Amino acid sequence: MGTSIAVASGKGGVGKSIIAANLGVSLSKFKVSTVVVDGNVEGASLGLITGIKSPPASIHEVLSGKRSIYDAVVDAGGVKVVVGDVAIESLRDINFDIFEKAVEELSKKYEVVIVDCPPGLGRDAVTALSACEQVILVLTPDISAVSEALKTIVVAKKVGCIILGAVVNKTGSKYDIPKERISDILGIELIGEIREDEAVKKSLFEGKPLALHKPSSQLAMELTNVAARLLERLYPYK
Amino acid sequence: MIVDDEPDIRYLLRKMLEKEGYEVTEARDGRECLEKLKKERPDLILLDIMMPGMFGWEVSRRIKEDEATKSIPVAMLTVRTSEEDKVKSLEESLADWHISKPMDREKLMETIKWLLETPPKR
Repeated sequence: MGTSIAVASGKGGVGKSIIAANLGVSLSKFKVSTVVVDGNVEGASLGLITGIKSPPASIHEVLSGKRSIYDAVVDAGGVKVVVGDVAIESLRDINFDIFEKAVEELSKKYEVVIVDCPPGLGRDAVTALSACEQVILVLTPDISAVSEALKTIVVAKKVGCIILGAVVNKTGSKYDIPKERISDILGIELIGEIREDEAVKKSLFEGKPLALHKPSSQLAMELTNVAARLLERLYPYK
Repeated sequence: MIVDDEPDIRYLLRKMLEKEGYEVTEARDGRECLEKLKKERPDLILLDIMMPGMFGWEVSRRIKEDEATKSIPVAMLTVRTSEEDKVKSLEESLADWHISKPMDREKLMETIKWLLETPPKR
């Protein structure tokens, strides 16, 4: 049985989906069988990030009971993903309560199931968090993101999700809250810092995660380092 | 400015800060702090939460809602360490930061230096 990791943020636009996808690529490169699932059914973006436009089945079809979760797993050129459907009508008939069962099913086949959670702390976000054993928080180095991350920690603790650490994304400004201060106030360890970079936007344009698109770039290396630190936490005795 | 109802805490903080070259003023509670702010403009306010008369959260909110004082960085310095308390500091009381006690001297000084130089923007 594998483990499931939620990639969560209290605030939208912090780069959570990009980090989830790239972590998936990096873990796969480390020979850890990994699948990344789009848990953000109302704002599915994993398909855009990984360049999967027509999946054999979407997470929406799984959650409406039309297809099995295994039908929806697709290879995105280096990482297995389950993507969402961007069409609004796909939101009809969805039962998000099935999500936990779907993640559990995937955990039987994969060592790591990464769930790209919806932002915020609405019903779907809490359900997605509850479906996972562990969580990585993603935030930007500003006060509102820090505050939202604190709220996510409260919910994660309530649903019994183990907090693996936080990744601070889009850093590089002199006005950033320093990472040491973020770690102090959140009371958790930072497992990564990703600088703001045009390369991320380019990888989005190309529909390829940075870790696949430009694996030797500084940013891809930083994302690989996050994956390595994550592995140290998941398998400390290996 | 150190705002704390415990004289020992004020004394310790004062000594620590003066050793680093900072000028320090004190207030024994929220009311004295707000009164002093009518005449003084400190560069930073370190505010305890659990004080008689008025909690630090309320003091911070009043400072931040007053045009004359809102730009002064305020950090809660407190033994209240839950995530809920921290959110209350940052959101309801509009404080710029929340420092949990106990914190080692070096880290506290780094945090104070940061708050004085580039306090977080909202």
